Amino acid sequence: MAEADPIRRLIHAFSRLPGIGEKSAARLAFFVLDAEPHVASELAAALTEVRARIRKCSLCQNLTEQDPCRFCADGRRDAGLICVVENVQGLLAIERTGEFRGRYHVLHGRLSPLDGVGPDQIHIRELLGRLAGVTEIIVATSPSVEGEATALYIQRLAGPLGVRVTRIASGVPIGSELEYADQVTLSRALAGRRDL
Amino acid sequence: MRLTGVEIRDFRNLAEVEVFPHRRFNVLVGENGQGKTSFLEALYWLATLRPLRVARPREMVRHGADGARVAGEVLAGGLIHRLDVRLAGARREARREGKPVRAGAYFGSLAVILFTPDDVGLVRGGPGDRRRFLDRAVFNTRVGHLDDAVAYKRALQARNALLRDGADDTMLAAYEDVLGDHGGRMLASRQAYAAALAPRFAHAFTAIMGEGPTARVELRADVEDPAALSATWRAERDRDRQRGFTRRGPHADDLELTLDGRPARLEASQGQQRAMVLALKIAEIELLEAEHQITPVLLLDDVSSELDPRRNARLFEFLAGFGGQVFITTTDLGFLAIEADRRVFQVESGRITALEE
Repeated sequence: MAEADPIRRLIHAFSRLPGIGEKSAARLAFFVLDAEPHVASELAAALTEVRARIRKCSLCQNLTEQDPCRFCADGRRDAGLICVVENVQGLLAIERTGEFRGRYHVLHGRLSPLDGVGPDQIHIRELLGRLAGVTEIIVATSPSVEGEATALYIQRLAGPLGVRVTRIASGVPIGSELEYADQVTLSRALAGRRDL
Repeated sequence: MRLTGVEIRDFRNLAEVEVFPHRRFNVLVGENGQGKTSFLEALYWLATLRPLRVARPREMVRHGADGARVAGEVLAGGLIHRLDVRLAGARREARREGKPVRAGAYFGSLAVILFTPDDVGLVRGGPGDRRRFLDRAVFNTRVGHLDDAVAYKRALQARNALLRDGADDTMLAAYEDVLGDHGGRMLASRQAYAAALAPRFAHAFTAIMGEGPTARVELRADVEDPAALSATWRAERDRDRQRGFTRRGPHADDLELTLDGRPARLEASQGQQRAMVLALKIAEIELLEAEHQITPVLLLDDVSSELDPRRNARLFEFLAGFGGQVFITTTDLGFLAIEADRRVFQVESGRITALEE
């Protein structure tokens, strides 16, 4: 079989990206070909650089250029408090609140036995390895079956070690009217009510 | 609630249909294969977002068309709501008031209860059919039930995969907690619903059959205490590992139907089975109206042909007393004891036309 030509190779490479189908991949490839030459060279350089320079923080597994990452290196942050997130996007979302001054732990996934993802595929061992001096773990995984199971699994491992394990609440978005919340979210919020 | 307008495009064999239903009885008359049942299926899809009779949603699209669409105007609580569901390729989109909404926000807009000749499987079939009936009925009264049922099923599959993969106790325990959370709520809702359904069912059955054996409906919960689910799975863990699946739990529940204490599946005659199905649906409707102030829209597909004259008479007696909207299909107007408050639609080759009366 003849080797695939460069255009077909590029289309194929784009089509492996999430959310990109064959047609979008072809559109991207022809855009790169039609654009000024520096577009392609900058894209290529950025792709190579990101792989060469970004790695996982040896403490929290956040993606970073420096190890430890800026959150782990920041001595003003409370090292006794760890917020566990599924991915870097989750970390950034929590960070944007400006409320959280502890450390993070990025799992890069969540337990999902049906997809062959067990504790060894997400960084749970690394989490357990850094519990010395930690008083509370806040689990901020998503409110899905997999996210809940991941949270409960962490609780079962870390709880007996004397660490308080908490879970972020789920409920009605602030700034929206109660009547616009969907019924499932509202019934969760009702079940999770608290005393005033 | 009731439908004041229905518009259908390319759904099954219905190319283009526009119907303004009567507030009470809507009779669809026509030969078999003309599109009567397709019309009821379209309404069922509009209400539940679930396809009926077809394995894949794609099969709902009319042959040669790109997509299907059903829209309806629902009058509820003095307000008109516009519902709209369309299928394009594999993508289903539900809209309320013209705006795309998630299923959780869409549900509850239109409650329907369906009667079909297949319903007799409720008595004769396996526990799975009865659980499905029960869960749909509960869902009409508590929307969160669907979310719990879907999450429970997913967590159950995960636990079964873990059992087969030889996972450790901690992993299994985490999934048992998730199962216990969703399963506990699911079980409690089923129990409360079945308890409320039981007296209404017994009463409806006697009204249909007159003197004779007593019919009862009761939830046979595999584990009766919702709070004991997690402990049950913990205790069964080793045996479940050998089996390779989770044996105990709400997925093994049955909504048991009995005649004088004996299983209806084995004991009931054809006539008694049909009366039981009718009584179940009547009880479901009465419960929705009495305890949840929801008057559902009834969809009856060719049911008279299945009932003997006496039970047929009882059905129409019930429908006459029911204040809500009814859609009913038949091959012959003579089967139906509906003379007033009705609009008759002729269904022929996928076209639906209102007849002048």
